[in-house]
Amino acid sequence: MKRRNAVRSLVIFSLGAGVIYSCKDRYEAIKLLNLKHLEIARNELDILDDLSRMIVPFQEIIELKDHTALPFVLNMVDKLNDATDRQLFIKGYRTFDTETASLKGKAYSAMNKVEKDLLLTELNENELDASPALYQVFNTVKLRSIQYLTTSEYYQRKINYYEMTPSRFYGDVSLMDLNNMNDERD
Amino acid sequence: MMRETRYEAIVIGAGMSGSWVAKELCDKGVKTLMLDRGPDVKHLKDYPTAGKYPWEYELRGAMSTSHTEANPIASRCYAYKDGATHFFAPDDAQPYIQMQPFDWIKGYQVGGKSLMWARQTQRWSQYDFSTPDTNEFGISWPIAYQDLAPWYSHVEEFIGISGEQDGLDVLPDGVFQPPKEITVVDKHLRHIVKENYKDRHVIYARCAHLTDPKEIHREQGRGQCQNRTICERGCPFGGYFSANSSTIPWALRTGNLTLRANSVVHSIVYDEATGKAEGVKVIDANSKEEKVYYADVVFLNAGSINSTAILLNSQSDRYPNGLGNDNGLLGKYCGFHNYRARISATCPGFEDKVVDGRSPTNVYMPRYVNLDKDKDGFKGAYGVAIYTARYRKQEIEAIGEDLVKDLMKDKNFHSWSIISMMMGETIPKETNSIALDPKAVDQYGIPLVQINIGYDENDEKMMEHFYHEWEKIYKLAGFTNVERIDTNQAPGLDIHEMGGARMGKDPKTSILNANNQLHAVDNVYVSDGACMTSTSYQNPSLTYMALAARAANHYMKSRV
Repeated sequence: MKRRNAVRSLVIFSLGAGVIYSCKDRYEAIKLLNLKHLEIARNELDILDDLSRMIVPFQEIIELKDHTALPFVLNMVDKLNDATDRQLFIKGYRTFDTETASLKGKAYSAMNKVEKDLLLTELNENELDASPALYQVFNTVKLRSIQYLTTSEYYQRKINYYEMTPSRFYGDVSLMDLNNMNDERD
Repeated sequence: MMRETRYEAIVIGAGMSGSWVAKELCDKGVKTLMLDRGPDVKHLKDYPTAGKYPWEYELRGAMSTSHTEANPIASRCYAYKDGATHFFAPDDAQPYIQMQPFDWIKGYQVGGKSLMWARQTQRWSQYDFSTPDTNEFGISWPIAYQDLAPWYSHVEEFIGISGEQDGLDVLPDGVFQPPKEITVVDKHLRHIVKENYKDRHVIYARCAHLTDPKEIHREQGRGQCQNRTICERGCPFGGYFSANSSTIPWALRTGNLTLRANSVVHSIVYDEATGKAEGVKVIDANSKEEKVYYADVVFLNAGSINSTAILLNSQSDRYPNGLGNDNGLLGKYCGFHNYRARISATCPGFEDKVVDGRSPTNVYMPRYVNLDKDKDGFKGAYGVAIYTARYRKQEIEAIGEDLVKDLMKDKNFHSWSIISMMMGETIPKETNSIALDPKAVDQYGIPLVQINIGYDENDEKMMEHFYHEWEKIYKLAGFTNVERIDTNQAPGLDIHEMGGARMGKDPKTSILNANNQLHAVDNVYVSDGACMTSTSYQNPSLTYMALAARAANHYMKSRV
């Protein structure tokens, strides 16, 4: 069925605004989440936000330049993680600066970009002799920041070409054809 | 208790099978009352999440731990997703006693589970009806495939089934609309199986989706499936069959149907003088007020467990142990489907191929075991649901700018993967049973249901056979990283609970006759899963609908 037919036979739906978070109000957005399990000081929020931007810097995509994943990351930890993982995450962000200072001679907050890149690369390659709590923070922030990007409206529409109505299914498509079809969809 | 308006027929349960009874009766001018314990759900109007995009969900479709902790049973269901939870009864809506672990998944609203079912619609064959005889278990079915075949067609034509004419005696063809596409790996597997086995077939899994709506579907106000694959939220197009989009509004339009939602059935009222059921005792779910509705005939379609429980709770001087329960077998010989066994693998050789979009169905292998006798080391049949997919990578090794670049690539896909699930017949046993607790009652004063249903050695042997056979098939197909999976899930999560008031030829060994009437009280029909003499392996809803339509029309004939 062509799109116009689908739309014609459909009752009007709310398109909704989507759950997105803006950099400008990122700490306000966190307050509004009413997190039950996480209490985070301002300097800890700064570390976590910086980590997310360093690991998944999707703000370089022009359409996402005003986004931050931090409220999403924290909300997912608060509502989805079990108590053990959550406690490890809390311990990790509370000790992030002191542990990195102990390991590298400089707290994460005090590092320049090159130093942070080196530290995060070691964590990513599991080569840093750090505590489970530090790794919990790194892995969680990476996982959830990626998820924020890949489930965003931008990514779903522009990379996955998500269509709700009508959607489509082709079961045997060559990658080359997919690229051509997506070019046409742009 | 006040005497309420009299109807010719009462249908208990407004789900898959009950709505079919109501449609058939109302089409023929029978003034019918349909009762459901849950609230009404109007097509289009009451699908609040049907237009919600994935990114509009706060937790992107995941369920919070507080929610899953409050609903551990419902949460285990594959369709229990953010956006569809309102169609599942919360765990505390109707407590029950698990004598053994049993996940009872419930949909308490008008339309029942037809809103969030898997929509798989495979007929039973002659082999399936005769398996109890050829494999020597249970009792014989009082009907054969030929008795149900015209009713399968009747239902298929009305609800719309997408499928292919496969020409297999193990899975008879029906009235089909065009199939959707299958994946490149499905095609490969189909080819390999055809090359290597004469008795095995990979087919398109027939499903209740409209791919080419006919006039009868347009009359229902339904349109073509849009491949949205968010069916469990309710489909505003009526692209798949639900009672809400199809049979219930159809029956209402005749002017012969009265629908009473929020009506919890306590019991069927028996008239000692006539030896017949005379009505149904109902408790209003909101006010808790009791009422009795009267009718010439009662159709019980409340879902297998609830239908059996209602019969058990319908006690009188004549039937102190439940209506029609002269032989003491009511609540016994229950069955389900064994969905524990899966086998997964990766599928090399298709790196340049992907899928684009989403499909509401998959491919399927009908039974190939124990056709004429139990020669495969166990009793009963199994079929296999097969899912192949190629997903985008979400776990990227890089970090920083490289990670973002990787995520934005069109070629960022995992390998193709396959998971095949055994759909196993279970053998009805007297010990697999449903009973009423002698003391504990629910919020309506109705006894709680005790469920005592478990696996047995036959189930384990069938799983081993499946694993062994499918390791061979995967090897022939060139699949790698083959892994056996036992989910160890409790019975019930298959959502195919059956039996409790089985059909049979002999009143000494069964509760219902060949027309789904109680042997002892012939104006009570039970045509949902409770009536099943054996379980075979197919998703059972199509068979329930066909049995329900047949039972309603039997009543119409006997009335003349």
